[in-house]
Amino acid sequence: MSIVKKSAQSTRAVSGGHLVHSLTRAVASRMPTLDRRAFLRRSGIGVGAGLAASQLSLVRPAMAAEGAGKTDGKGKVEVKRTVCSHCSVGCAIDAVVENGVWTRHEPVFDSPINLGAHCAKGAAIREHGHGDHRLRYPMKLVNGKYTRVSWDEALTQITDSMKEIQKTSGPDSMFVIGSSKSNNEQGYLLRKMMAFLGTNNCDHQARICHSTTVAGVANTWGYGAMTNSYNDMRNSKSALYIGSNAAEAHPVSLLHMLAAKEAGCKMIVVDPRYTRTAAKADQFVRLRSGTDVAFLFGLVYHIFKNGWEDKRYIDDRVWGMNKVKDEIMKQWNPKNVEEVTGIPEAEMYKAAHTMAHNRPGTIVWCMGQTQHTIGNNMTRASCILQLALGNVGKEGGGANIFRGHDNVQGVTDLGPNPDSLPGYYGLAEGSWKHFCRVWNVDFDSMQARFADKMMGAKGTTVSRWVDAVLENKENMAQANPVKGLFFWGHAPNSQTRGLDMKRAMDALDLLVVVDPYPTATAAMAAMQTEGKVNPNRAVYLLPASTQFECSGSVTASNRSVQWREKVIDPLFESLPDHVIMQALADKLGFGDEMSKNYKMLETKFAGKTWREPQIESILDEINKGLWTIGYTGQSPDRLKAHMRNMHLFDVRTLRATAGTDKETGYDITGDYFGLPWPCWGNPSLKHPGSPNLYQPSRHVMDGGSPFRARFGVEKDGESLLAADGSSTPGADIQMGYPEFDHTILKKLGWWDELTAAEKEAAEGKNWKTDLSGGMVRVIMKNHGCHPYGNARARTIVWNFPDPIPVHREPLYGNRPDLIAKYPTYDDFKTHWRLPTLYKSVQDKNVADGMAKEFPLVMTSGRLVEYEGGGEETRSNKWLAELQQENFVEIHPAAAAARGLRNGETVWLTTPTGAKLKLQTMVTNRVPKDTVFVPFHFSGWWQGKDMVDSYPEGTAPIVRGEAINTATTYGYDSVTMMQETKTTVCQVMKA
Amino acid sequence: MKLITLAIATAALALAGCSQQATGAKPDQKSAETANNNYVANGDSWKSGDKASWDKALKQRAEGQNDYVRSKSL
Amino acid sequence: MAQMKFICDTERCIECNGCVTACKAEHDVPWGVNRRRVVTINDGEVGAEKSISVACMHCADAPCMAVCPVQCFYKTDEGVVLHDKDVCIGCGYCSYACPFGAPQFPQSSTFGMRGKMDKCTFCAGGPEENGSQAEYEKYGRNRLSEGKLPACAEMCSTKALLGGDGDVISDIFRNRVTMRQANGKEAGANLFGWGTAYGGKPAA
Repeated sequence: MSIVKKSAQSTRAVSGGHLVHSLTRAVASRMPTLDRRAFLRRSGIGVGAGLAASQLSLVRPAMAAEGAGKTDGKGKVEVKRTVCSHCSVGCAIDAVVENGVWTRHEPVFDSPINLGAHCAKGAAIREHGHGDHRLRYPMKLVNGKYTRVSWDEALTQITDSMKEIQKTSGPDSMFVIGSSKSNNEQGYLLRKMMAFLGTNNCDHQARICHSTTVAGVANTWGYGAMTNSYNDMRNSKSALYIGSNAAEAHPVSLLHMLAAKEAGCKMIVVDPRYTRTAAKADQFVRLRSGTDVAFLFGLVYHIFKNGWEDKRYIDDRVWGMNKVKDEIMKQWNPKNVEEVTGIPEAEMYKAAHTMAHNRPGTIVWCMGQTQHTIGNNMTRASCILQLALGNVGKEGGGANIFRGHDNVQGVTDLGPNPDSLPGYYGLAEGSWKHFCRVWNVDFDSMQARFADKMMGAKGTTVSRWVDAVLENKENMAQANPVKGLFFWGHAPNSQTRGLDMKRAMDALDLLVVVDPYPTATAAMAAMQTEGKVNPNRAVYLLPASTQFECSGSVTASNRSVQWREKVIDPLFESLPDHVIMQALADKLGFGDEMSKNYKMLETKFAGKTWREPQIESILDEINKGLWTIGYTGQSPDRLKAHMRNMHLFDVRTLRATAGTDKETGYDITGDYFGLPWPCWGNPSLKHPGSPNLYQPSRHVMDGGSPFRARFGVEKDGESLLAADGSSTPGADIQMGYPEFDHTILKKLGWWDELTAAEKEAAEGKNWKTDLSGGMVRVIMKNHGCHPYGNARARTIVWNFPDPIPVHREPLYGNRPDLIAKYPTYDDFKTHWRLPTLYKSVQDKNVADGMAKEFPLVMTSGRLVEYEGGGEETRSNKWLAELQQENFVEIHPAAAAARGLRNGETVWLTTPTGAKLKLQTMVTNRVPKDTVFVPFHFSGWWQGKDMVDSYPEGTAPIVRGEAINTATTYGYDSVTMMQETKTTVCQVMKA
Repeated sequence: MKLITLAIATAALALAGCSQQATGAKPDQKSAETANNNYVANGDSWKSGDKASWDKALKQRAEGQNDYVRSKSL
Repeated sequence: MAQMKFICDTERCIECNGCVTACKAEHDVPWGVNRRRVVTINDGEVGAEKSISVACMHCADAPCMAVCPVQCFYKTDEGVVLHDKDVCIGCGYCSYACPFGAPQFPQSSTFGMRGKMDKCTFCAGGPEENGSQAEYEKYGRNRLSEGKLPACAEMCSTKALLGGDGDVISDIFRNRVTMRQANGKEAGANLFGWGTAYGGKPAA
């Protein structure tokens, strides 16, 4: 292949555009099966011209950072162990540093999670030590250009503006979009800072990623996290991937899955597209986008019809299955399933048969399931499938939800969520009082920071921040619209409705980007369009350090907590997130209050000394307060010992059978790697962590647990607690029981096993608010019971809009006939503080004949080379070279109907009025009526390159149209998740 | 004439005596000779220049590519 | 004596490009030079798509070595094919001769102005002192002399790409093929042409 290409290139002058395409077409005609990467300008003639090497020396020496020492291999070499900052698998990295410069990257074969493996992004991680396109110093937008300002100027002006906004419009007119890429300590500190700011208007990427998972799954059986682990999938006999392209989004997870497959695991992949993951499947099922509920219940139909359900399991541990069964048998027969999903009965039966006859089986889902108006229905349908099969709480089974960003799990657990304090405590007064005790601050003065009655009111979401700015205040459940916004480690092009977003950015009084890169936000804010810009708007860019320039803990998708060592000092004038937070808090007047429990350091950054709350002491505070999910046992010492001794942990079970940490003498025996939460009690209790949730075959001090008693003890005359005899081994109570509080302890006669000090702290409290940990200790260690109770999973969530999951057509669809049968919700007057439309949008689309004008279903998704909004990875030359253009995958029939050939430039238009300039990739990967566009690109705006809108020298190497410039309105009925996975578009020749 | 033929034959023989095809590359160190930098891994498990111990060290290292080894249940 | 080889297990390769960027990062390979690439056939075709990672195969009888007019190639004791950039004249013959497209050139212009050929070195550097700055700047890192194996194989996301002593990695690969055969999966032994490349009885 390359020989042909080279001879073609060597006889022509170098240029881009048409010439390259004719060359690639020439090559393509010789090689009809070029893959999607090869067909695009891979040799980088057009884009990478400036990066070509000189003639003689082909290999560039590592460029030593300013002021750093020599790096000829003879200097002082240290190895810092860290964790990749891209996805949630949590691949360990040994970063080799010579004289302060990050020179090498060695694989960590010892890691039980990745065994040294990396995907393209992880293998390219060392580029973070160069940061050629980083934001180097604070900047302010002045007359359309970003100009450098000092930290002091920026912080003073920003905080003055924040004070002004909150004074005139109320505390809720500030909104901070936080980051799933901060470490746990930084995420937690941000949530705490928001409390001091007097508003719950904070959020992060989980909203647009797995919010429907967390809500749906937590409301089914207790917690909304991945129940087992990537490693545990080696034990699976069957695996159903629905709406997950793990080969591109979580590549290293396939290390475990493919090994399982070699051992006989049957892999079923369900997706509208034939993805790279589907290429590894034993059975690929093509599903119409957005019809997951019909598919999943169509499987359950066959399971019940053939009596394949696990009756004993359901009797012991599940509530409500009879009603759900009735509904499914009535509604989801093969005929209806085929009508909605497009899947014939034979394929459905085959998949159901496989799952039923190959247990334990696991289910994996990602954005394909979550990003819909009925996302919470889909995730619950997945849970119901696994409950019917009795797969939850077994090794090799479970609901293996693959989280996205490296620390989205951790930040969901304890970071800036609008509807909860850290640890899913919610916003009730009792929870606020609990945290005020943990934080050592006065409850009344905390309450006084909030607008009246707003302390317990959940905030608005990142998916709707645009409407929080643009909506009329009469329609909002807060005093005034949002006027000041932080994009803190979060991209803008991952949210829908880009055209509206530009208007919102132009309407703000204050826009602050805190990020290692300027991000597309900087370009979007600076670019000139026809709309008018608020003359009072001030835009600031603050350079943040990456996770390799500070230390801290990070929680992988399987709930294991890993510790990152600092690799290099912060580059340029960047500051780590927690230092920026402290500086803002100090200027706003609550810095001391906020950090009173922490050890404060005086650290040199950007040429001066700054107050830095010590990361370990923040984790200590987390350990003191987060009882709900067991973030109490993962002390800094235990976590660091795990990172030093990774070789002791078994890959299949994640358990260390024996071993001592040489450095501290800590006995690792019995620990699960990373002490996956819940890790109960104080660190001294030495709980080993919980590798698989809801596994009742293990003792509670061995990582076992029943389902959580979260929904009461009884409903509709039936017990919500587990059946008699269904309990964990060695438990003193061998039947269902509710969650524990001091009264139950006293009734059982266990109260006197607490020490005097413990009694004092635990008096009047429950297991979640007892700061001494005494209750947890006595319940678990002395009596083998579980503090959160022993209950049934519920298949009917009576407090949700659809108690039993149903299918509803998306707001923007190309099947008006099905909309009549499966319509969407009625409009919500207030949903997370904003009016949220459903029926009026869907009805209007039908009335307007939307399906005729936009006949193609549009879905978006991931590429392995990039991550999230993409500005960080598209600034990495090693990754950028592999994927240089945004493109739209279109079926040959749809292309032919439009007179399109492979590699042609097209306009993609959507009902929003946006038009995107893309290249076509004609492929059988997508079905006839669906197109696919990757979502990682930004830097182009409706056909125009925005390179001039970035600060000088920081525009990413690769830029392209952001698909979310054109995506449409639509939000989940419970969590406000955006409906990105299924909307409509038209494609035409440019 | 005979002398020239003999000379040519000798030259041909001499060339054929070279172990492999003649190479214009400069002579290179053996890979088993430890790199002269501070990046060497497990440097004490092999002796610089000793092929047998270096071979053994690399064979051991190759097991890092074999996930079956560590995934056997204990 | 160990002979160094690569095997890419196509049943495990997911085209993640980890091997590609591992190589780029390890040797600071400039834009436009691809020592290693992943090739996918039947892209997007249901049931037929397969990927394989390709770089220099360090052939037992290397065609590049055979055609080089200035004999800049040599073979190490372990069978690794290396070359001397100071001798290379950038003629491009090796590039035409190689069936895998391994030789790369930084420039693309008229004959003779290609610059020095660059290719995968099996992370064994070149004819400079092992691990020296000079070797790094010309050829990249010399992992073999550091007691390590090629970065691409050590970092492969699914351990599809194996690199090291031919006997050792064949064993690893053979075990997987056997497992797959025993469990009714596609064995994946033949796509690579293993038997043809390395001799011996190919797996069924």
